[in-house]
Amino acid sequence: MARTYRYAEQEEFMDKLRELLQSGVGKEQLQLYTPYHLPEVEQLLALPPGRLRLFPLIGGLGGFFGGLALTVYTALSWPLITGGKPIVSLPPFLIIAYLLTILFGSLASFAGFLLLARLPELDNLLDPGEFSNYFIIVVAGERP
Amino acid sequence: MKRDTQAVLLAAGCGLALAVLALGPFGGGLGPLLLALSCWVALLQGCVAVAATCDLVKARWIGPIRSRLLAPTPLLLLSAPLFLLFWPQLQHYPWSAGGGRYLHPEFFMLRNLAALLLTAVVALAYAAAASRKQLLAVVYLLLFVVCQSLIAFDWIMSLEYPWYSSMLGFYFITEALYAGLAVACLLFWRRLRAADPADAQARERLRDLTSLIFGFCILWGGLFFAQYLLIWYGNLPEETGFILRRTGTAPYRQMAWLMLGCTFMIPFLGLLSARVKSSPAAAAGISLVILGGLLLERLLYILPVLTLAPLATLAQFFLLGAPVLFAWRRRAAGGAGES
Repeated sequence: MARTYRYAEQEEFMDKLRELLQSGVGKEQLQLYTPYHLPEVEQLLALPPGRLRLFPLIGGLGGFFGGLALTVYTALSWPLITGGKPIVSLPPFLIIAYLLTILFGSLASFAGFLLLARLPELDNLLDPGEFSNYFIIVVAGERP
Repeated sequence: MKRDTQAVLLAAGCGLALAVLALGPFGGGLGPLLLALSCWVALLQGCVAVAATCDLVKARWIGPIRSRLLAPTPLLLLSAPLFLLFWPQLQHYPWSAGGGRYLHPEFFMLRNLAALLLTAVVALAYAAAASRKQLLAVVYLLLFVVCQSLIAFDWIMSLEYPWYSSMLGFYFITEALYAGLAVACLLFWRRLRAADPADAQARERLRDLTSLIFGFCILWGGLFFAQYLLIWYGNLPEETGFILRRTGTAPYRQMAWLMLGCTFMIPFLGLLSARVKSSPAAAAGISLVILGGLLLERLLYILPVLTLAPLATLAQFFLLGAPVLFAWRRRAAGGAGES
């Protein structure tokens, strides 16, 4: 059996969550639904950091080195001396590398978000337990 | 003796000693004074600007250290009389023989003196204000922008006359704020070390501050690169000379790389880590590196143009720094219970 607590205010929800954790309720028994992300909850439950942050890191690094590789490769493939500068000139290439860092970092973040949230599955878009803008705590193994 | 009296006597004594040294035969000319004054004024004005900005945006992280950050504000009053010591040494500026209407010795002295005095008076009023704090913060920030721009354009850029960069003023404003944030981080570290090291709220606020420092690190890097890229692309002899004098030969080339590492690369790579952002000791270490990098940059501006006798430079730098450090130390000793 599970018991559900429903709160309209964030403070009340946080107070109840603290109370439950202090009374010995294990975090594996808890299911929480909040209308927006609450970092305080992660701190309270001491959750490990999510995997999402790996996506922008990999995307960003890929974009940076990919941007450098693209500019160096194209400059060497079609060597045109402009303004007496060397063919491979890092200062302007860094701008392309920087822009591709941002582009691929953000695209990878978005892709990672879709992947981890399993959003492309349309069936998951609307949860039957829709809680609107309420803060919900479901405690498994407690009488309703 | 009361601590306030001690502070005033120390400030007056150090100011007097600096004046005697700067005007005497072992003063080393304009270079040491210019380095000391431009560094410490930027640091002090930056601290007040950080506090004023936080008041305007109602930032909560500054709460535990606000009064400590503002403790040395009265010392800004010293900047104006010390600037007067530039007057007998203006011949070191290449424009002193004839720089037009703007770079005219009397006008140069008058506008800088007025800016330093006004900024100091408003900073003092803001630091002591109980009411109308927001208004004073706005006025102070406007004066801060003017004063740092004048320091950039008049004190430093005109050493390389006729070289010019319209970006240098904003660059100096950013650096003063960057330095102020680094000092705030050091004060946080002292507070966390002296009080409860496990103070979760203070740690949370430290993380806000280090995130802000990370942002300023990127802003500084962007400005530096924007300025460098324009000069590099333009490749005009009157512009590239400035960069070449500072990167072309030893030891300036090594100093330039070290400066770039301290001001951008080390803080950027270090503060990427959430653990470093939350660790008071690591954040304080990075703040010291940033301050070192900013000092190195001022050295790079001045050293290729003016002579910096090591002993005179060190003496003047520490004579100006001693009252500032004393003010922070005094406030830390007197404000342990502050929250």
